[in-house]
Amino acid sequence: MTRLIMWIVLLVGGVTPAFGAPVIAIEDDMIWQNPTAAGITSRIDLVASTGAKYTRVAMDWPQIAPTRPANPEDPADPAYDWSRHDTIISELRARGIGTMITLHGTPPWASNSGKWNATPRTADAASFAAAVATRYNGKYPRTGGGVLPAIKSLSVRNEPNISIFNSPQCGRVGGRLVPVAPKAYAALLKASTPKIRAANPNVIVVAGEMGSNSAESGGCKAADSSLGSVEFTRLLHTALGGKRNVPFDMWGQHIYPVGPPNLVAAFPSWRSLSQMTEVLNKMHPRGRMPIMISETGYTTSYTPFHRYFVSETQQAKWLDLTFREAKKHPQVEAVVWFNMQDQRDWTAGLFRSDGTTKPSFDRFRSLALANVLNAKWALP
Amino acid sequence: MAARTQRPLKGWPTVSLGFSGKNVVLAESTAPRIVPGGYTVFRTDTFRLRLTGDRLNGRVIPDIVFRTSAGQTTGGPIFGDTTGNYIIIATGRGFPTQPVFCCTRTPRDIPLEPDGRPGAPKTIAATLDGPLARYLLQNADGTHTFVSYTVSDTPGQPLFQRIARPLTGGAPSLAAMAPGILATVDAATGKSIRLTTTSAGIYDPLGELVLPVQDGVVKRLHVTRSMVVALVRTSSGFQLVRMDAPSWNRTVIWSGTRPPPLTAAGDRTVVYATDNVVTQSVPGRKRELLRLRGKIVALATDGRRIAIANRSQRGKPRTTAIIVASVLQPPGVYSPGGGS
Repeated sequence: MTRLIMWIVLLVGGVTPAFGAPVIAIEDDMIWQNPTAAGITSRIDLVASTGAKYTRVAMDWPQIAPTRPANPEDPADPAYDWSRHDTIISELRARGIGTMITLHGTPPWASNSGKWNATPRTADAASFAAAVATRYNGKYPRTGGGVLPAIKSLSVRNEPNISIFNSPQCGRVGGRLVPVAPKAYAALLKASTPKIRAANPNVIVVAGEMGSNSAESGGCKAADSSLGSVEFTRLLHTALGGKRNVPFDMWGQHIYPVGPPNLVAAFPSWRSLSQMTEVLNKMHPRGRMPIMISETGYTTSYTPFHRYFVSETQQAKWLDLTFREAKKHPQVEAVVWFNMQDQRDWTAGLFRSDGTTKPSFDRFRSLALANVLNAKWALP
Repeated sequence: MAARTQRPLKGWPTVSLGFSGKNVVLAESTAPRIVPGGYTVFRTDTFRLRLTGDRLNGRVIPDIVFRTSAGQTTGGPIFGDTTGNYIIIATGRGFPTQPVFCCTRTPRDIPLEPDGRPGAPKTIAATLDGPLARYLLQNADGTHTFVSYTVSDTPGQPLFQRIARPLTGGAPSLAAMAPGILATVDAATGKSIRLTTTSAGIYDPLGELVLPVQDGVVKRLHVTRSMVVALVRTSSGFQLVRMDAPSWNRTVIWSGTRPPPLTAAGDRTVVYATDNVVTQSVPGRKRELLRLRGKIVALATDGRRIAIANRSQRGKPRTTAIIVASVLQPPGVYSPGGGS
């Protein structure tokens, strides 16, 4: 009887236990670039209009910590400027939208090369991750009263297998070029995750966020060669000791299929996801690693980063198919449509650059409004 | 006949050609790839074929890859400069024409109008003018917009700045551009060609010139800094007319009942292909440049050199030869009465 009451309470509250359709989320890559609170608010109003209950937000480390903090694990260190993300996360929560945070970039002081995409010093990156987890654990006081909302998930690096986000990928060992990024990423996870969990026990620690590369790269050809997604994951597992207890809770994968979501077989795609889960399940105590498709979408015009595009009508149809495919993969717990509005480098938006809506907007909104969150993904 | 070098391509792809610095720019649209499962991927690739002097030296630089399921891609017109950069107006079915600039270091190529909606503006003319890409958009409501887009990182020029202005002087039926010049054909009559100079920073009609009225409706238009070339439909057929600065007098360089399938202009040279013959026209003289066996499917000139795409089979697998030849007695060394 108690169980039955619990089920009724969960269902009436719009929350079901952990099964069913994955979370339908969206990312607006222009939110965090807004320097003003008014600009951020207008972006968040657009996010809310899509009906999404979760949104993925990038957090640019160099923007928040342009200079080295004296106490890097303390979010109150004066070197940190959290103003934009305090506004973003609070305003999202005020509209009933949860936040998935992905850290990216490296401040000049946190690496040897000083480049934005440089692999950071492990200790510095782990301390920053701890500061983020502390500030957004749902208990941290907000300037002006109250507390800052909790974030739902935290990922310590975006696309660590792609050199534009994480460099170098390869290094010389004994005169030969070999992959070095998976080992550095393993060290980063091992150092960060205990600190994140200590500061924010409820946050989902996401790893991977693999860029949409093919499964295998065929070996290092240069220091900036990007590594295959499955290859990187396998090497990461080795670097983590080949164990089932790994320092993360969920794996992120980016998928941009060249063709319909239900038909494309080349990795990464919905049909080829098993290539990744085969490796990932060896890292999970119960052999069933939760997955977040932390970026997917279809661009509707040519961009320099994705040379495949579809018509707007086709985008709307394939958006439907994308979320239908996602339901067929029980390990996939969340799917993030990237991006919300077209910009010069990426045109998979539900909004065109002039703010008008594409046919995909209505499709996304109806799916998102009907999306029922399970217990695991109940808003923090 | 002109000396020539050539590079073969497999099959009979749809190609377009242009010149940019020491390169021939090739856009190659391959046959659609039907992927197991039943969806179609159309693809256009652009390459720079390096030149040593007037000869292809065998080096090929791959640049832009343009893939879609929206519809068949067909390359598109290419507008180069003297440094190796170029704009291609990516063309195909199922999406509006999109100008793409090539090539910066990161990213190598820049979509100048990344707008794929059905009613998006169509790019109808383009040129490279120093650090600026300039192009003319035809909007869905019939109006036109002139755009200057900073594509090269020049000190004092903000990179990726886009300045757009409405086109003044009425809607054109045709347009062509060269560095510093916009040529338009008056839509009302279709016979009047107007030249407008464009300033260094933004579109600014510093001066306008209306050329002699044509004998019929202008169906095709080319412009260089010193010449306008028009294909005109007259009551008796077609005329290919050149008008050279500074007099801008009309010279009919070809006439016939059917239009020449391909025409190109560069500097003060016009080339056109009729059947399998390529003819050149420089000021005061016209002569046959090449006679080929197969069909000519693309043509370009920078005034000194020409590039041709020529299909052949002759009992063998289909091939398309990209041929580069020198213009005979190009303007500047041309002397009336002389010859080789």
